[in-house]
Amino acid sequence: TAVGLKVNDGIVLASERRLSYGGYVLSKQAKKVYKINKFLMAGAGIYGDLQTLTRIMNVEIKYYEVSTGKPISVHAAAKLLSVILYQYKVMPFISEILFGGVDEKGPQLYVLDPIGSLIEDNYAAVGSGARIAIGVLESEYDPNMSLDVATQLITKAIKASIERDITSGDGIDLAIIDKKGNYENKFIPY
Amino acid sequence: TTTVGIRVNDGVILAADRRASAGFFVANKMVRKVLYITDKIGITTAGSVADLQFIYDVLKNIYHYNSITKYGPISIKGIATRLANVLSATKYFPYIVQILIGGYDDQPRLFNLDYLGDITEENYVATGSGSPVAMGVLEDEYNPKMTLDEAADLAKRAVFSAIKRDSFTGTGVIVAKIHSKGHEELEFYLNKKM
Repeated sequence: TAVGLKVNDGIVLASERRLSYGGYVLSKQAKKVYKINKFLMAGAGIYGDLQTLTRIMNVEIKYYEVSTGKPISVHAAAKLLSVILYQYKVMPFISEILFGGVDEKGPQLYVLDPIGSLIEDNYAAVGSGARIAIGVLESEYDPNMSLDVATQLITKAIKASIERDITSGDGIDLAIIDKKGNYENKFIPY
Repeated sequence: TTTVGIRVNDGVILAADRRASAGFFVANKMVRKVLYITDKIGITTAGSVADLQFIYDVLKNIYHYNSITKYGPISIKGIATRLANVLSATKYFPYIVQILIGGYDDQPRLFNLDYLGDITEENYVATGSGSPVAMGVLEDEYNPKMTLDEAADLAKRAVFSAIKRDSFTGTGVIVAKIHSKGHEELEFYLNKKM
């Protein structure tokens, strides 16, 4: 399960660390929240596909910036990921992805499906525990909440999914970018 | 689910985790899977909850019906055999259950019953989705000379290992120590708040 939240003061992405093969816990240290360039990416699905996509995005963003000579916007980076996913439409990357960042337009959060649909949202949850996590966000989300309160809310949402979804567990990774672009990451054992 | 049964000279240990899952959803976090027919006869349950609740009633009925007839209290092997007969008779429309029956009559006894009517007597056994994990611990550490308390600790560790690696097993464990005088129960939780 991965969750993303956008507030006026920045964005927060979070995920738990369990990698399941059916009912078997293959790993308890699978990090599913990545910092790519100055953006955050989190996801659920086939873990190898997620890793591959992060590597592709790292290279593509760098390529975009050296060839155009200017920094890439959040929307352009998200669209780039969407185009890559769509190119693999007949043999898709099995992944649901959250992509977020902060630029001159402010904080932005995007949700992508396996074949590259791109939708901007205030908050989103993907993966096996998404329906549990979204219930928590749905009842408490407010775009004016502080980044600290947003971090607490997202933690609460992931904790709920760990409690009720058996394929989620083993601790929480958090990544935060505030409106000035400062990056921070945290791990919460749970 | 993971349940464990261990027989030693002083008695029998029955242990089970507390998670009830429906597919990949945690339906209940505090379910009881160690149940008693008498003070000195217990069972552990794994499988379909509805079937297990029905089978538990059947078991109590077998015990109490026998008690009020001229035959008197039934032995543990007797109950296990009677239940195996029920499961065997319904083989083609089976109750989805795996049950351990353990206890103390004039000696410690432990039986494993599967849903088709198989019955086997065991010194140590694990059932449920986490049984491969639990059995790894039991296989390495079981010793027939261990005390009842040592066996209780082993059962706890076996179920805890399964909680850590099998997602269908969770929350914590109830460990029942059954001996010639009755039973005592211990509870342990992975999350200390519980």
